[in-house]
Amino acid sequence: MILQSLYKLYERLADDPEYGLPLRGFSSQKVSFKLVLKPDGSLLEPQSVDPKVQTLVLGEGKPPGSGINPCFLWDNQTYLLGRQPEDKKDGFGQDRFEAFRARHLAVEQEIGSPAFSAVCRFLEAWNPERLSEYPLLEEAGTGFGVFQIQGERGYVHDDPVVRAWWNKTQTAGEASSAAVLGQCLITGEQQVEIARLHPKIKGVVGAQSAGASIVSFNATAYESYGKEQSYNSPVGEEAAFCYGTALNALLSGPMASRHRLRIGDTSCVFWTEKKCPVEDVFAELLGSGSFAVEEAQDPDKLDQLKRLLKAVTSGGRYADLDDVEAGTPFFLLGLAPNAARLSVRFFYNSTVGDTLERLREHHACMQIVREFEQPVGKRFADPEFPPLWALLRETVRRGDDPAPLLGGALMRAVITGSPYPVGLYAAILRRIQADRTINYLRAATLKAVLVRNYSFKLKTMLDTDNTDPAYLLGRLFAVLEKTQLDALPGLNATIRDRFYSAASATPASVFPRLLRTYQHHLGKLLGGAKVNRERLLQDIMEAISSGGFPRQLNLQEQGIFAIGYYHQRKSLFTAKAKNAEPETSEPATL
Amino acid sequence: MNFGITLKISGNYALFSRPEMKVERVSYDVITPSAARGVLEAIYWKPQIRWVIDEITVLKPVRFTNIRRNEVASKISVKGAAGVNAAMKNPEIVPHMAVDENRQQRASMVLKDVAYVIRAHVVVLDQRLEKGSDPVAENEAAGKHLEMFKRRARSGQVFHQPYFGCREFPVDFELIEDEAALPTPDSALLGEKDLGYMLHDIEFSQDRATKKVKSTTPHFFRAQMSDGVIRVPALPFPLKR
Repeated sequence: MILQSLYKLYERLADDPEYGLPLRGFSSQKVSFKLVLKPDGSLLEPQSVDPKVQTLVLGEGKPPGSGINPCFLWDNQTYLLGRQPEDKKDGFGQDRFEAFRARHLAVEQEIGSPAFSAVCRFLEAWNPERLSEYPLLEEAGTGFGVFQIQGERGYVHDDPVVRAWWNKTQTAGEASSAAVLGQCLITGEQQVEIARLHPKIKGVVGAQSAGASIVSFNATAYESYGKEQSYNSPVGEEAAFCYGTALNALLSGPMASRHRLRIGDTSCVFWTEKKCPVEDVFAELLGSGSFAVEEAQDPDKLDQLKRLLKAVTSGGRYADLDDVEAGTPFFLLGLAPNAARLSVRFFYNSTVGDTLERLREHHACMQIVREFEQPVGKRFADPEFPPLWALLRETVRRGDDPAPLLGGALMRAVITGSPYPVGLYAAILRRIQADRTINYLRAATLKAVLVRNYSFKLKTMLDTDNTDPAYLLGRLFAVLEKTQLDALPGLNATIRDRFYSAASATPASVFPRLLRTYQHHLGKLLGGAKVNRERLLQDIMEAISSGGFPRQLNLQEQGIFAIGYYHQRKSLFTAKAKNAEPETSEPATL
Repeated sequence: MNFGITLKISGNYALFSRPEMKVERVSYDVITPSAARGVLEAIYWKPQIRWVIDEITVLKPVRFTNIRRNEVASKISVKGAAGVNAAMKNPEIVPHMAVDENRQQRASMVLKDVAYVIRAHVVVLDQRLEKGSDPVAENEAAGKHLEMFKRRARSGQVFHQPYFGCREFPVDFELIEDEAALPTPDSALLGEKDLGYMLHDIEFSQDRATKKVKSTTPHFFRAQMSDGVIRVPALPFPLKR
């Protein structure tokens, strides 16, 4: 269904000028300079062109490979002007320029356009030694160039006569080749010409910059039934062009930012079958979470985002807020690079309404009291709806890449409402053990996994009625740590740094010792604070004492321990602010 | 006349590679008719018959997961001095491939926890009960094959372990003889669903004299799932030789 959905999408995008889809036989390229010629073919001057604006040129891209393959009426300076690359042997530039010239001169009579003839006169007269006369060309480097005639608005390749000729040769070229006919597996049409090579897909993070294919067969083990190359997967020429163009438009076209987001090493694209407001803001919502609201510039979009976010976080239904057809089909495709090929990490199709409902469920699972509800200094506030990449970042050391399959698995869990990947939970616990940091994102992730995968009932805020021993121990640990901090402000390493891992895994061996030191710390506290603290500790101890300290906590219990710790700690610091007690320790920096 | 059988098949994983994504493998959403035929042939097959799948009922919701496996990049050659053809003539020759030199890690998107009910019938290509005997009535010949299939399926006999697309994913099967005992599809599958074009089967055209395969042509059909049931159309090529 993947290629079929993309094929269908092509029809929609082709009608929308915003996407600027290239026609068959043409492609959009980043052109960095133009050679302005006089009508007699002499060079007036080279001018720079904004490379950010894509220019429609003839041909479906620069041919791959190291052979001599000149393009038509556009190319880089090696072909266009015979510039000798420094790292290549002598004659490299000259050979390519001659091939470029020969290709054009051969068809001059056939085309019969004055503009094209001017280009031919230029090519005949040009000597690559003159390159140094034009400093602009030195700067243009490896960019592509095109031709323009003085006084004309369009480029030479836009000349109607040239275009008409180009279109004619395109169709003629197809018919003459020894075509393989068969049933197309995208459209189901019988006896269509089967594509031998499929379009390259550009814009997947980590893949080769020239593009990678979804469909390709480069080793014998991939081939079967005596078929070679893409004849192994019969796709009609036209269908192949359409799906490739549509996918390229989503990944690297002018509207790509609406359709593409990156999660770990996976590039995701999504689209809806019909144009739909959710499509415009979905990337921001998933990619930036609540931060998207701060980042949005356009007021209309901001409004859209706010409503969508509200629907997701408050449980309201988006369909009620807006007259969007909740039934519009919604597609999500995750691609990851593997050298010259792309592998599909996930493909998901559903409806807009369902997808938003899944997002809401995800948010409900994740929901936990925020550590920083307001920005503190340079630190951002914790987002109410955190983006997925932020969760993945918590599974590894700062700067490392998350495990390759985790991003896709997490995305799948969020979008389909299936259990979260177990690897995510284990990785977060591992990071907590290693750096003893329990922040909002980690606590929220642990909670989400425990709630969805193991059906634990965990509250958003501190739950004093929860009698789960692991939860109570986590709370106890937070109280002990806070007491130590209050007694000895400015300490470098607290009991969390020394004992967290042991306390959460083997409580019986650690807590008795911590309780002894607690007595010393408590002695340093003053008046009401001392009484309150002791009362809190006694409440927790009373609930634990029935069973004594457990010898070991398993992985699930360790997660609950972390949540108990997080809840209690948050509560300790919040309560203090409310009562306006004298500041006895540094502000919370968890 | 219906010379049919009903078989419930299930397994933990399945991978019905789409031809367009069979390198970095991606599975079809449901079992293809040709994969279902492979399951039946693993239980019972003779050159005299051909299994034809009529209907596939999907019992469990379609769920995917990703795995990575080590596969190889090349095939053992058929031709040549150390190829399969030479080895079939001369038992001294052992065709081989150095796996460690050809190893490749490839990603696969596989189906998880699958169960299907397949209904199929048998087409008898050769109506003789034994070589040299006279042909019998079609229903008599088909009855023989069907009974053999059923006897084998009841006792769990197989020629080789049937699998869901790849050998790693074995099939558990159970013959359903009582229509009342038919399992019902998961409620998530209710309604109409378009599964797109799916491989129907591959047509082999053989040279009559030399028996060599002249060409192989894949055929695709539009799979429509209605309340979990996919009706498989008739094959678009003749079965009988």
